[in-house]
Amino acid sequence: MAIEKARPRIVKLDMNPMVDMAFLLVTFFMLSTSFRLEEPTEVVLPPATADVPMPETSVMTIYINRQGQIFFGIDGKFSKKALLNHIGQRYQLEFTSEQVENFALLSGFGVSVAELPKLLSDKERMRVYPMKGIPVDSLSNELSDWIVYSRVVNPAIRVAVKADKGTEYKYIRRVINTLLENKILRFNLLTEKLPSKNKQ
Amino acid sequence: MKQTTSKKAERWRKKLTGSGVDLDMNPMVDMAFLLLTFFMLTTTLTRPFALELIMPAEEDATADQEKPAIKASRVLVLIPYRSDTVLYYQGLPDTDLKVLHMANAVAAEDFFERFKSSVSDPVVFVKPTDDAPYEIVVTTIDQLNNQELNRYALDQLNEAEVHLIRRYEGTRRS
Repeated sequence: MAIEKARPRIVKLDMNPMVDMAFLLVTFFMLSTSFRLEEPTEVVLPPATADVPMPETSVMTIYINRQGQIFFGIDGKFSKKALLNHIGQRYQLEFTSEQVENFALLSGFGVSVAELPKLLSDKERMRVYPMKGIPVDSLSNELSDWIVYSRVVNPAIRVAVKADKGTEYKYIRRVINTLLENKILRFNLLTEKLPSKNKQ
Repeated sequence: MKQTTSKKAERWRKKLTGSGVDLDMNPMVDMAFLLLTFFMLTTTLTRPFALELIMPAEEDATADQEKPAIKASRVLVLIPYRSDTVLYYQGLPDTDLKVLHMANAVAAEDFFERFKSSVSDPVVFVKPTDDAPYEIVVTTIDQLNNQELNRYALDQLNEAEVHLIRRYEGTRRS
């Protein structure tokens, strides 16, 4: 009669396939990721069925939050620096090189030009600075200047309006009128994709 | 596994691994999954989509005389009003405003279908009120795009329409 010998049990789990897969996914996400930019203000986009994706480069974004405050952002480090120089000349303000560097770090801002030096002088507190929005009154429409000089910096720039879905329309109208005054007749309203109902 | 110290176990292990060198892969796997989680969470999957608006060029003073006259019956005026209601009238602003509930997708679609089939070459004006939420304006424009009513314009309310809205609000209250 064969007596089964008591063998010490060594469980060897082959982990190689799992590791392979994990690294494959890591590589995929590493290559496909583009980091989420910090937004200057919180905006919940309205849903719509539009399915044209917004290009991510060469875009100026006008943010309008629920309170109707207006923020402005432009992509690209060099565009930002050039834009700030133009604005400095326009308003006769001198920005130090440090302030220009800090401006290039901001994804967007919402202060009047007069307040800009104060915002840009403190790098650490820049992101928690209480921003009240860019003035768009008929007397001093600073948004208009930002738009004009953004187009000077990059003539092929596109305009994206990123407004909260609860914003009252009168605030949106002010921005749209500003765009129209500057002969920008083509612009994009950013929306969130609604799952389309295919009834066909 | 390393704790098995008996000679038998050692022999078995050698048999299994061939060389007896046993690399502990756990830290590497931990690392891999940590990175995987990090990238999975930071990656942006929801890219914003855009609703393109093309506004008509502002007419200058010279164009004033040759403003194209549109037959009133071809015109539909939509007034985004509250979070899901759009007021509308067709033709001249002399009738009462009617209500269209955008949340009811079937009814809204039905309405636009009927409008399209009743009028040839329709023109739509979207004139939001001051305190209409942005969402309903976007929904309206989106709906027009979906219905292929491509001749629409974003405009401001005129006096007659403000009057109509006031009258509509009056009837709601009483």
